[in-house]
Amino acid sequence: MRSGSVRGRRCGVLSLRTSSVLPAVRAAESSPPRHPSAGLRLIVLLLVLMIGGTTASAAGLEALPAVPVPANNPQTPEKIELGRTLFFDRRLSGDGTTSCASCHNPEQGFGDGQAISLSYPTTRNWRNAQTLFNVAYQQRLFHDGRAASLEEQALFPLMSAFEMNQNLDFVEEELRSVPEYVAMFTGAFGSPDVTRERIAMALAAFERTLVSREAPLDRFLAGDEQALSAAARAGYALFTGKGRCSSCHAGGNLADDGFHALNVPESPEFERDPRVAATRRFVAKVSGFEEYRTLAEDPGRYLVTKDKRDWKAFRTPTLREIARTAPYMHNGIFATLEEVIAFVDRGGGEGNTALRPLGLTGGEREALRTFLVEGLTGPEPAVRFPKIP
Amino acid sequence: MKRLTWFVLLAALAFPAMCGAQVAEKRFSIPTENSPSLGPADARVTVVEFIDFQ
Amino acid sequence: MIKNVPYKYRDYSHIAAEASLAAGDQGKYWEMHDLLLAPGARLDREGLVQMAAKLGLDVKRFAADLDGMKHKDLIERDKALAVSIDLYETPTYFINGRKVVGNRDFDYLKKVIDEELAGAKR
Repeated sequence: MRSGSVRGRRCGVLSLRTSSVLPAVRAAESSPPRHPSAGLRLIVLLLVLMIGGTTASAAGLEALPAVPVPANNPQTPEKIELGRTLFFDRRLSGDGTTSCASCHNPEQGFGDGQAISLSYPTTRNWRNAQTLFNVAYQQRLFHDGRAASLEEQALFPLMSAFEMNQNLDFVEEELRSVPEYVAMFTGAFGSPDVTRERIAMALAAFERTLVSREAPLDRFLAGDEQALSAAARAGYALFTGKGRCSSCHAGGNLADDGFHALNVPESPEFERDPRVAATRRFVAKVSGFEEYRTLAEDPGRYLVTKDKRDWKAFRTPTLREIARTAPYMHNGIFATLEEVIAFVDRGGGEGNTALRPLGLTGGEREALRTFLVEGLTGPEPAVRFPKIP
Repeated sequence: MKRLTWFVLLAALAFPAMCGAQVAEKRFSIPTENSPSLGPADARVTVVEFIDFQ
Repeated sequence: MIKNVPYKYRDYSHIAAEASLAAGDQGKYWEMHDLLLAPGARLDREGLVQMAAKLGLDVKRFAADLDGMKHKDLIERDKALAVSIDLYETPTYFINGRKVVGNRDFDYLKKVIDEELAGAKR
């Protein structure tokens, strides 16, 4: 079987695992947080240590499988190239200033290096721009998981008043006026029609090429013990042991497709800039939250499911390339990994039930940080910039 | 399009970055002849802005 | 330092760049730069000529430079430079060669500059 494309130079249809494109249905419930008992955890840790160091299967991290590709949107070079071009094209925004790449900058870990994302001129965003590294592996997109596929996700920012602020009917016509785009759509989809569905499919196809899988951790999991330094190996043992990180940051992509409320502090930007609060109320309003007028915090996935258990729950992000994607959390509240680890070590934010204090030493926290930075950072992504017609 | 333009000013003291595993910073070399600029040519920091006035 | 990258789908981008450089020829580059970036600035020919008058420039000379696209070569050179480094957004800043893309606020740019100042001291 041929694997999916890593950098866009080769591509093929994946046969290891195909996921069908889900309809736009909101999941009724999030997965519950995991609380293995302390006794069970101790036994597992002892077993792990007796077996002689850590093995992937004992501790919840494993090799990354090939990129999942939906059957109704296979990868082709023409589609990926069209998606790459659209991704960098500011034409897709209402006033021509903003492209996907504005906030998902390849040179800033496919984020934008800010706590709160960049936004459409005169507005402010209210959440952090997430990395697109390994986004193909995420079952649900956005911090609140409201999109169930990359195709579904791609059009949201185009329409969002505080992001690209574009009218989809209008952008279809703007692109149709450009002969190079008509040619590219024909090459990718077999006919010259420019539709929002095709725009989304092309963008998704490009995003499926943004994969980090050649990090030291991957070599380590494949059997190369020297791929991680001693300090990083100690950090990995903690990650899968005392730190309990892999209970949520699990599997090849270090993310469990779940939603957890850690109760991180609210962003000071909400107080500082009334435009951020305006965006917060706007999103709540269009999500059908009745008390949007007085909303003072970010309710997370609750806005999508209206399930009380999802209040302030946010999607577990991947930790891949984490050193490239500061600041951290859904609102970028932590500028450094030290802060994130300290936060988790003390049991998370007030009132949360997902985390418990860990009692890590300073050395242990530093070892974890070393593992995250050293183990999960792969080679610099080789992004080719397109020629925009 | 409205922009903030930052002018190179005199030095301010700043503390060095934290040590430990870091990701390297990539730097571009931009030719600087003939473009309008402000401040001394040998300033410690140079800011080049690519701008669209509209 | 400013490099000009007028967006080809914006009607007034090029002429505004010409205006900045024409004002520069008369010693008022940064003053014109600030007028061009002011909220609500009128960037059509008439608006630009009014700005020149406001700055006390020789308006006849300014208008001739504008109409004759006196600085087209320099602007095209800047555009070619932008293409050569795969520039895809304005503004893009290079702070001691470190690329910063997009309309960042003061604090963000200050932080990068402060880091560079600290590095340059060593």
